[in-house]
Amino acid sequence: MIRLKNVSKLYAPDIVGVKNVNLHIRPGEFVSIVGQSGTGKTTLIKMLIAEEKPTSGSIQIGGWEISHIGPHDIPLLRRQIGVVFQDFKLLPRKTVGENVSFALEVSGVSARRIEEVVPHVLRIVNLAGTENRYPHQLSGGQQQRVVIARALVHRPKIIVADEPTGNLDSINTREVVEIFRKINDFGTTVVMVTHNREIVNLLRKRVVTIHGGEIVADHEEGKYLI
Amino acid sequence: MLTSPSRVIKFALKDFWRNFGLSLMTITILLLTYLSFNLLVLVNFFTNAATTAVENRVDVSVYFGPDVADERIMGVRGNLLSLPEVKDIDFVSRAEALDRFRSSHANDPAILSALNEVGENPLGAVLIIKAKDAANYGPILTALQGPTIKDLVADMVIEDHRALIDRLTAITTRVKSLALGVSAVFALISLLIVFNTIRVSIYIHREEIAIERLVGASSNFVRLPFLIETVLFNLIACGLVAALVFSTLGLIEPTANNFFSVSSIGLVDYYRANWLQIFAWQLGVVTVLSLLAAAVSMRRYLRK
Repeated sequence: MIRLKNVSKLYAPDIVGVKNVNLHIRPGEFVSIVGQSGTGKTTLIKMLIAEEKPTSGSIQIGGWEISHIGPHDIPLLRRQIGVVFQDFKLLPRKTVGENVSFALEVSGVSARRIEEVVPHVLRIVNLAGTENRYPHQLSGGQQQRVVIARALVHRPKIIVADEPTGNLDSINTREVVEIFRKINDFGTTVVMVTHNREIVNLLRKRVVTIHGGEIVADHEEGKYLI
Repeated sequence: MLTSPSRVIKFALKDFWRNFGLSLMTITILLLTYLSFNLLVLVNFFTNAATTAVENRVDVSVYFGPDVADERIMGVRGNLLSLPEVKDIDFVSRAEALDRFRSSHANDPAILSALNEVGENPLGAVLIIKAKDAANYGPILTALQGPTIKDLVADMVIEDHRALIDRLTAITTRVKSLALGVSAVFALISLLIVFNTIRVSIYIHREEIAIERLVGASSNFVRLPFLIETVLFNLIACGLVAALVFSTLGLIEPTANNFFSVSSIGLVDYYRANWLQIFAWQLGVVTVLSLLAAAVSMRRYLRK
């Protein structure tokens, strides 16, 4: 599903994002990428959604080589991956319903289909009835669930989450992690970057540890070691 | 084709309404730009009107002797009218010339009594010649000095007219050049302001643009609503200025008529006859520039 071969990202000759990363994530896996701040976790996520390009190496998603992806293909890639950000990245002048719909509208999905799907996805993330609210009228946990709904709505095979619980309290953190677990149970591959020792240990799924831009540990049913 | 026109228009209209403060600010700046363009149109109109008014007051009056028959004078008039430089020639008969003389000296009893002493009408008929262009009096004056006309003329101060005409021509040419230069500078300043206003508007939207891209929107899907909004801003601003201009022209015209001492300066008629050309040009130029500014400004935020 996701295959990184000898991937390095250098921002300058002496500023390393990641170095010689080799990683294979199989379909349906739940992988937590852990490590201290500045170790290259977010760089890795940014490369998966083509926000950054690797300096060297190869990145394949579903057999699609994206390390030299052209600007016109980037939207196509992003429509196949659901992305959840720590800072939510919701469109502030669109309602909850419109934020979720947007991910379908960019793919050319019909208005009728959008009307059917969006309320359903909002129910999955326990946000039924909030369609007409604006992001600033929601709590942090609710906003993050809107982001998850937006990431889910086009039924991607992969969900990538960059510190999805970073701005949430412990109750909301557990709710969000449960939603990810459910999504994964339905067969969606989940790649989650996190700092949160408690949820990594709770999940008991594969844990990849990064340090200094390199993978230093990769354990099935692993724990937060650092 | 993923970029559905109706969806893009819907996004543009929603963004226009939900960012009403920003929309209002942008429209206000564009409105001021269109207003300044129309002020330039007015300045040019009045410069031309002033030049025409001055030129209309320039004429050559040819005074014939009292013994020259009207038929001969009308013959001279016919010859002069055949000159391409001549716009119009008024004929003032002897009787009319006497009436005008009496009315202009109505408060001067000494002159009127002297006129009565003479008994008969001492004045000859007059031809008042107007040229199409103030600079074209030269050939007319040359024709008046021809042998068939010269002997009939009692009085014509040719050299004084030539000097006056030359001076007025020089002044009006300079005024026109100055108006054109000032217009060009104002137009340039206005266009720069428009360019920066649109850039600021796009800058304010930069985070939204980045998020839309991250969610998988193509460049066109992000770009088109902004471009439609830009066209909408221009249509509203230009429409408001057109309404303002047409509602105030009727108020400006009587004052302008008094100022230039004419029965009608033709301002309202000028706008009625040329409104499409005037506003279509302004709308076209400012909209194209605004779209260019929007497209250039967005390029940076669409790269990621």
